[in-house]
Amino acid sequence: MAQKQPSKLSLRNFFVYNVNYGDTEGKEEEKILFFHPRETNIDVQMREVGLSEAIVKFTENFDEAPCDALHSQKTRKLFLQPEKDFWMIMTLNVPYGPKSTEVMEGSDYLGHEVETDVYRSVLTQAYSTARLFVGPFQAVLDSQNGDTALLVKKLDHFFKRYLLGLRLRDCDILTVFDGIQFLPLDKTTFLRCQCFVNLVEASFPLVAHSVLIYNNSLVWSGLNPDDAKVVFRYVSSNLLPSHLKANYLAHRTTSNNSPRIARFVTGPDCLIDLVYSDKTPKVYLGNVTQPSFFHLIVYKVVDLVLCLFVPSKETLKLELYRQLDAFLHTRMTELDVEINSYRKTVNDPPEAPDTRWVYFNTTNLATKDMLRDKKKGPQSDALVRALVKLHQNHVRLMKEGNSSSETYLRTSTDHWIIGRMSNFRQFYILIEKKKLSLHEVDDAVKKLSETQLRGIFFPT
Amino acid sequence: MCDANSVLPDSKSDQGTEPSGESKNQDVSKEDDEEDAVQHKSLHSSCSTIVDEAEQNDVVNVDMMTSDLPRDLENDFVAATTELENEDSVLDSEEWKAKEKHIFILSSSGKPVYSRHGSEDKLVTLFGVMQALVSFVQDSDDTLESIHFGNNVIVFQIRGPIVLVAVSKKNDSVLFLRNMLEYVYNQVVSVLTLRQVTTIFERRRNYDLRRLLTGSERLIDHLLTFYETEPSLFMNGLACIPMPSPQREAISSVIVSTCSKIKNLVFAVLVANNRLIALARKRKYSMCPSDLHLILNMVAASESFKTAESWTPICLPQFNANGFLHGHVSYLTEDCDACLLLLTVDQDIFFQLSEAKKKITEKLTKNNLVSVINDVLKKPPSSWVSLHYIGVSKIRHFIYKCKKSQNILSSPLTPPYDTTDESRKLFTKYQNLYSKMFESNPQLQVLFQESDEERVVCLIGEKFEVLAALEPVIKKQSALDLINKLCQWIQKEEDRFFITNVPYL
Repeated sequence: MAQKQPSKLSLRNFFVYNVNYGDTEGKEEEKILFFHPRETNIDVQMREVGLSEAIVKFTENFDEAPCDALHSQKTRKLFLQPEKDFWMIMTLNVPYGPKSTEVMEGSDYLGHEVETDVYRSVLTQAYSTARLFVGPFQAVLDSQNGDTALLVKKLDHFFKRYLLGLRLRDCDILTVFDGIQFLPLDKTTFLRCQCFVNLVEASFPLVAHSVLIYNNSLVWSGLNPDDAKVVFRYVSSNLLPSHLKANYLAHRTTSNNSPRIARFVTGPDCLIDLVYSDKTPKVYLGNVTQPSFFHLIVYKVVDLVLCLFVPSKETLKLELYRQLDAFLHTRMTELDVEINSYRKTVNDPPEAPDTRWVYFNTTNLATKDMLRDKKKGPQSDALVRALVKLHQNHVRLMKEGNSSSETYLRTSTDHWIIGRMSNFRQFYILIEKKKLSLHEVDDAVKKLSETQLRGIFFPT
Repeated sequence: MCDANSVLPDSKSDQGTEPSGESKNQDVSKEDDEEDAVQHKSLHSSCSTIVDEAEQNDVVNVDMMTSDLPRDLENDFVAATTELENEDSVLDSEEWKAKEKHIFILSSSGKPVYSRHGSEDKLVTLFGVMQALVSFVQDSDDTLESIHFGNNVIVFQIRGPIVLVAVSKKNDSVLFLRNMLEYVYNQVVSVLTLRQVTTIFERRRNYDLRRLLTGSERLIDHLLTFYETEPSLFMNGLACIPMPSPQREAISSVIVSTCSKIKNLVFAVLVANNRLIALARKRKYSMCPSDLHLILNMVAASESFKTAESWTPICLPQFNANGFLHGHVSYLTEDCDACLLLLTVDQDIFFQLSEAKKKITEKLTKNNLVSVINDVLKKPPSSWVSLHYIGVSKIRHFIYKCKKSQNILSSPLTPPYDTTDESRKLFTKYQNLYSKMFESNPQLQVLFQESDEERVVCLIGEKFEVLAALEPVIKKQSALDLINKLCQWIQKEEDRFFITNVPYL
């Protein structure tokens, strides 16, 4: 056998099917609503769907819990039933390479490097983002009297781009939490923000909901946390970066006296009638009193971003954008300065060297972390991965009825991994400094809890 | 599992393709009304039959081994047809669904071999599905490993022509279940030898292996419970009956001196209550914990050893997966619970071993050692280790494994772990954390876990491994200090709890 080249974790396929379709013999492929890669032979597609269906049926013999994952030597298959009769499946190629960093010989499939929980979360996020733009899948079918053509088109349109942007290897415990980073503010500044949002909503009755974001942290949200996290994830990791890029390019290519207004992240490029075209996306909110589609207008001044949700039955006229711009521009500039000056008065606590940590609150989805920017080398990756396992263990303890739990681990490489859970708050710490005594580790954890999570109580 | 024992393979449909030895088997089994389902031969003529047959052909040998079962073909047929009608009802039955763990064995062609709950005949469809899933994944040059859903895990193991499947509904670790299947596989090999299994399926891919395993279901059932309740199996260690070392040495030396002249004797093993009392071995060979567990399992699962001296073929997969050892098995005396096994590669020395055993018993009795053994066995396990006496009463329970000798010591299950529910819960916790220590990359050396129920500590050291459950509020450092104190005590008392030196035969 030829020597197999080392390979990294990659996406093998991704598909969506509905079990109610394709009953007619010879037309089985009708149940497939989306399949990536699209050039896959139809027989291979059917085999993949068939296997998934068989696995789901097989597990039903033992328990009604829906199927989560299938592990084979070379692949991981993640299962999600997001709506009744719909299944979303994602298959990953397990990385292949030397078994340890020290010894180069003896390559194998590195199944232990793939934390299933992380990728299950990736799949769940893929659905929630798809629903944001497509709406509930069943609703699309219902609107077409059960004809799949429109849903197929919409899913293709959405996932084609979404899967391109999927960075599987960067996913970690933060993907599992799927939380929101909140901006810590003092009472006065927070109230100023809230007043501002109220004023906007009062002045523009068309606006049904709003979300305020500052520098990739959430300041205020009028949405249910489940909707808010999807919108927040989309705006902060998708819309804003591409807006920034587009602006940068526009600056380089056009002259300074262009009428372009960069403040509308979604909406018209400029506010002159002649060139108006409505580019505002419509998004689906599922956790409001009347779940339906909304226009999502995103307006940005310096670091402050305001998201406005206008019911989709309203027609957005250029006049509205003009009024919004006139109303928001000065006010948001002022608010931005205010927040900024508050932020300057707060000294970030000094970072502990060789320490990384992540905090998550299950009830409000608040996340704080000091993980991402410090990745360095495969050993650290392994440690960050270990956090996911630890988290799993704590979730399990919680399910078994423990309101609080704590785990201290020392690895054979002499690193410490610490996890604490209390009343739905979770705190995970990695200490990479070597040769620490238990006492010193305890002290470090205590100090970190005090400086980073002031006011959050963890019983010891 | 009584229903699985009572339902034998659907003999009618298979009759045309029976191996030639079959008709003989039926005759033998009708005569033989032995109650015990385990394959072994009581003394009298059968021992020589095995020897003769084995020389001619391995297959016949195995057929002989499994032939001492009551077998009424007419009834089998009736049973089989009625079972088939009820097939769906088993899968639908809430009772079957609620079982915590299922274990299935099937051949790679999908023929049912064993099911822990519910008779295989009623589960033919399910076996078919499992085979299909395994071969489907194999078709794409891959291997099916596990399925995860909710708190459930299904683990697959493919060992040559045999597929083993474990279903757990309580979040057991994959490692734990894999190990469990490994034991089950070893048990099958232990009854048939690996060569046997391979040859059979090479000749006939569609072979119904139950034909050869009839009666072994009880061994597998027993092994599974053994595995679930005795942590030494999962931790791959030997558990001994504690005894002052001079007395243990005296017992070993009686065995060694009596057997020293017997050629081809590989192991002499004295066991009681699922534990080891004494062990002697031929130079160059050592007893693997997993092999010993198969021996312990066989002894514990076979009532008939108590009534008669027996001559049993047994394959120890770690020792040699392709051949049988021949075991002379007998209890020391009628009123002693210690069972002596003399294991040899020579199938002709039954009478020599029988003679040796008599001498061993005589010498042990003369030196008062039988009553020493009886006294030790009379003491309840709860009196072996007193955490209070050692001064570590905040430790509620522990398991200690000495890496060098692979011996294991655990403390009695005292409150709050004295109920089946609580002890199982603790073992599941241990099992999960212990797996985590090795599954993690980099591996873990120290683990403290504090929850509302207890503080659990795992230590993997150079010389020993410890799993301990302590009171919940205790500080980590104090916990560590207590465990150190405990380990020092165990190391001081090692001679009593462990067999550190295995004498040569």
